[in-house]
Amino acid sequence: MSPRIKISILLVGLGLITAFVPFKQNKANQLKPDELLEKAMDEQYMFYVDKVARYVVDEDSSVLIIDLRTPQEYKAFNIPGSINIPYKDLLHRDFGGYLDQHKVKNIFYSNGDILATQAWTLCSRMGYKNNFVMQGGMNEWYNTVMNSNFSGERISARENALFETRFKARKLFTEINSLPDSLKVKFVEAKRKKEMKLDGGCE
Amino acid sequence: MKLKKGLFLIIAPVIIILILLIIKSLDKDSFELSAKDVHQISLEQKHILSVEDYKHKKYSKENFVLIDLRSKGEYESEHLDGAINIEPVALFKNADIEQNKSGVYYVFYSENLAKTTKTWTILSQIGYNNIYILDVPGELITEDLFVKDSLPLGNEVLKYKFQPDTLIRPEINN
Repeated sequence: MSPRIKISILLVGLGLITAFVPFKQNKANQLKPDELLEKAMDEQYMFYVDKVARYVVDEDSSVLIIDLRTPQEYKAFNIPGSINIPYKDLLHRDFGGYLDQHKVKNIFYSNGDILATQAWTLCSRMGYKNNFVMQGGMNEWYNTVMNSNFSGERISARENALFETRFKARKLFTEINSLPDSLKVKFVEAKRKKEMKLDGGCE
Repeated sequence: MKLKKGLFLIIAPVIIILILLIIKSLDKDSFELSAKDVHQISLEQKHILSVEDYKHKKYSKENFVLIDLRSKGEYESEHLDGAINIEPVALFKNADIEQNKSGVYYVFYSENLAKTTKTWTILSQIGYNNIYILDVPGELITEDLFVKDSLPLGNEVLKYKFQPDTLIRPEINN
């Protein structure tokens, strides 16, 4: 038997095996189930609402807040600066660039915990890094940021800073979400320019 | 003789590759379903049971087993009636949870729905299709939960309504 025939038969054999092996996604960054479970139980991937409020107030460009609710819910009101990736479209290729990246921290939120943690777990399974969850979702945002009031007699410096951040986040949330849709983007741009001027920066 | 040697040289590597593939497919520490498959399953929302749903299924004689995913200490302090305690890290090795056993369903709960949901999402990708999430906040995990009349709304139900600033949107007052 000539070497050419041997190689041909070998290649056909390998081809047949490949054809019957079920398709699996690229496993370069993927974790095994027990590794994923261990990662999932790590609290560092859950952000308290106060931490997210701080990012919002600071307009921190190192984070991207992702609203997983429906477009209707997002349009009604959302956390300032967030983008909308409806949970049902989470794994659509149009959003791959947002989820599979190494530049910013993505913070998922929905109304509660279920959709956001499902999204986090699926993204982590696919090897996407830099994804986090805002614990408690929009319900906890309301509970902590929108409805909280200091009720003690003396306030510590730490508590003062915390309530100041909550107050600023609440004000921003109410102002932006009260605007008609057409003005929301313009409001954010104008606010940024105003703050740059106050800081002595350039436009 | 020469032909046999030639055939051996072809068949041997093919057999070795086949054996390796069979070993790989028997590896239980791998996922059965893709993330996309489980995403699709999750969209149906059938895996989330309200306390009322659970009670209904339980009383209709279906074999629903409650699994408390909290720590042993929390479980021993108080747990839902009939629950057994298995922490998430022990789930893979625990013989009490049988994958896809006909007629047996497992309902997970823990101190927070994030933990319960993550556990469900991972086990579903391994191939479990007989597990559910009990939609109950951690603070309501008490022995008398199933006899309470008033129960909270589901975790993903928005409990607040946005009040626009009427100075910015004066027409809202009109």
